[in-house]
Amino acid sequence: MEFKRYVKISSGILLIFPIVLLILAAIAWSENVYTGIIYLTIGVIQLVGMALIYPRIGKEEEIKEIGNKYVQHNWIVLSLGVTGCAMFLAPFFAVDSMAIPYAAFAVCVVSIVLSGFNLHKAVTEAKARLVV
Amino acid sequence: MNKAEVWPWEDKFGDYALVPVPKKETRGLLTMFYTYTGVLACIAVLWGGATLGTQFYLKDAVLVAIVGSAILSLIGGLTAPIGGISKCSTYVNLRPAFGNIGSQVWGTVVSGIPALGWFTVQTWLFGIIVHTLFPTAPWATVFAASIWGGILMLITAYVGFRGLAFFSYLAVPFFMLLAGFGVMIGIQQGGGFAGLAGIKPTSPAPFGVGVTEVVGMYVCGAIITADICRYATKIWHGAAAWIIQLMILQVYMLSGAAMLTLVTGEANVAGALLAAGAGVGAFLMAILGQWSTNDNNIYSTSLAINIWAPIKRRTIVLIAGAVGVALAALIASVWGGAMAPFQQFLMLLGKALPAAGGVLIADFWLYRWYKGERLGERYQFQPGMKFGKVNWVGWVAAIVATILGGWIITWGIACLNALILGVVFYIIIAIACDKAGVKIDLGEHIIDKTGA
Repeated sequence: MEFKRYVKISSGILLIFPIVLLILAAIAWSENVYTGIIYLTIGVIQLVGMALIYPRIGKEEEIKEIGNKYVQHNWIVLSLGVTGCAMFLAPFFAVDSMAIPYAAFAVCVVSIVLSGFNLHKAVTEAKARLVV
Repeated sequence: MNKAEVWPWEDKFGDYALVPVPKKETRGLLTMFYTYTGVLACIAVLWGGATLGTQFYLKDAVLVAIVGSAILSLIGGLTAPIGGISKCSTYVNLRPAFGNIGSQVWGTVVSGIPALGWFTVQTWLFGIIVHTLFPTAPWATVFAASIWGGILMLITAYVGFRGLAFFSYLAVPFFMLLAGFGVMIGIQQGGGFAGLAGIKPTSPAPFGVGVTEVVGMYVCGAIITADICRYATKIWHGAAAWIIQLMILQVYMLSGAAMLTLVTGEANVAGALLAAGAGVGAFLMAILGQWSTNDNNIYSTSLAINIWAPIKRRTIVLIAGAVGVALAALIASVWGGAMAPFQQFLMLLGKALPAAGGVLIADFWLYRWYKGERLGERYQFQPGMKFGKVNWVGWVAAIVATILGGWIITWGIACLNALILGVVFYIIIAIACDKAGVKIDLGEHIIDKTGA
C-alpha cells in the first residue's frame, strides 16, 4: 500500500497550489476583476478536482485501479496548469503589480511538473492507463 | 450468449474496429464524458460560435446554440445506446440498415469524408490564425500558411506522433476558458449583458440556417457516437455523457465566441482574441490545439477508408492529406480569410448527414421493435451471421431524405427535416416491403471471426 500512501501525500501537496491561486485571486480581484475570476476558476477546479481523489480511493485496495483514478485527477491538474500558463500573462489579465501574474504563472508551472511526475509514477508503478 | 464469458472474435484491424468491445475493456461515465469533451473542445467550435455572432443578436445566438445542441442531443442520444448495446463501431452498426457494402460506403460518407472536410477547413483556419499573428510576413499569408501548416499536420499524422493525441486532452480546459474569455470581453466591452443584447449582427441570417450550422458542426460526431460509447460500461453512459457535454459545454462555448464576435465585430476569432488581449500564449495553445485535432481528422479519414480499401493506412494518410492541403490552399487563394466557406461547409454537413443517422435510428429503434426483437437482442453480432450486401431501403431513404430535406424543402430547419424524413422513409418502406414480402436485402455477406 506504499503507492496509496504516495497518492494521498502527493495529492495533499498538489492541493496547496490551487489554494495559493485562490489567495492571488483575492489580491488581484480589486485591480482587475477578470484576473480574479480566471485565477478563481482555475484554482477552484484544480482544488476540487484533486480533493475528490480522497473519497474515490478511500476503500479501493487494487493498486492499478488507484493508479487509473490518480491519472484522471492529475490530468485535470496538469491541463488546468497548462491553461493557466497560456492565459495568466495575457495583456487582458494584467494588473498594476505584475508580480501577481508571474507568481500565478509560477504556481501553474510547479503544478504541471508535479502532476506530470505523478502521471509518470502512476503508469510505471501502478501500471495505470495514461489515456483515461 | 454473454460476451463477457465468450468472445469468439479476432481483433485483426485493432481498436475493435470490426468486432465488439470485450467487457474487460469497458469504461465508466466519467471516461465517456472526458472523451467526448476532448472531441468537442477545439478552436472550430469557437469559429462556429463566432459565425453565430455575425448572424444573430445575442439572445437569438444562444437560442440557436440551444436548439442546434438539442437536435444533436437527439441524434447522439439515440445512436449512443446502439453502440452501448452492440459494443460495435458505427461502421459495423450500419450493416443492418445499409448492408455490408452499404456500411463501407455510408461509413465513409458519414465519417471519412467529413473528417477530410474538417482537415481541409481546419488547415485553412490555421492559415488564418498564423496570418493574424504575422500579418506582414510573406510566409504567413493565408495561402502560404495553409500549405506549410497542412504539410506539417500531414507529416505528424503520417509519422503517427502520439504526443499530439495527448495534447488534445491537455487543451480541453484551455478552450473552455477561452470561451469564458469571450464572455468576459463581451461583458467588459459590450457594456454588460444588456449592452451586448442590443448589438446588431453584421450579416443577419434566418433562425433555421443558424441551427443547421450548429448541427453541421457536430453531426458527424453525433452519428458516429457509437465509436466512443461502445466502450461504455452501462448502456446509458454514452448517451448521458453526450447530452451533458452538448447542452452545457457546447452551448456555453458557442455563446462565449458569439459574444466575442458581437462586441468586436470580428468574425475572425483569432483577430478578435488578439485585439482583445488574449496574448501570444493563448495563440500558441490555439495553434497546437488545432494541430492535434487536425492530425486526428486525417487519421479518422484513413481509418474509415482503410477498412474497405486494401491499401496501407499511411498511404491513405498521404493521399487524403495531400487532397486536403490542396483544397485548403484553393479556399485560401479564393476567399482568403473570409468566413463564407466555413459557413457553407457547416451548412453542407448539416444538410447531408442527418438523414443517414435517421436511417440508422429508424432501423434500430423502430424496425427491430416492429420485428419483435427485444432491446438487448438487437445488433448482437456473431461470427457466421448473415447480412445483405446492400439494404436498398436504407440507401433510398437516406438519399431521398437528404435531397428533399436538405435542398428541396425550404421551410423549417433543414437538418431536422432531413433527419425526420430519413426515419419516416425508412420505416414506411421497410414495413411496407415486409408486409408485401419484398426483400430489403440484396445479396448475402457472412461475417467471419475477424468481423470482416
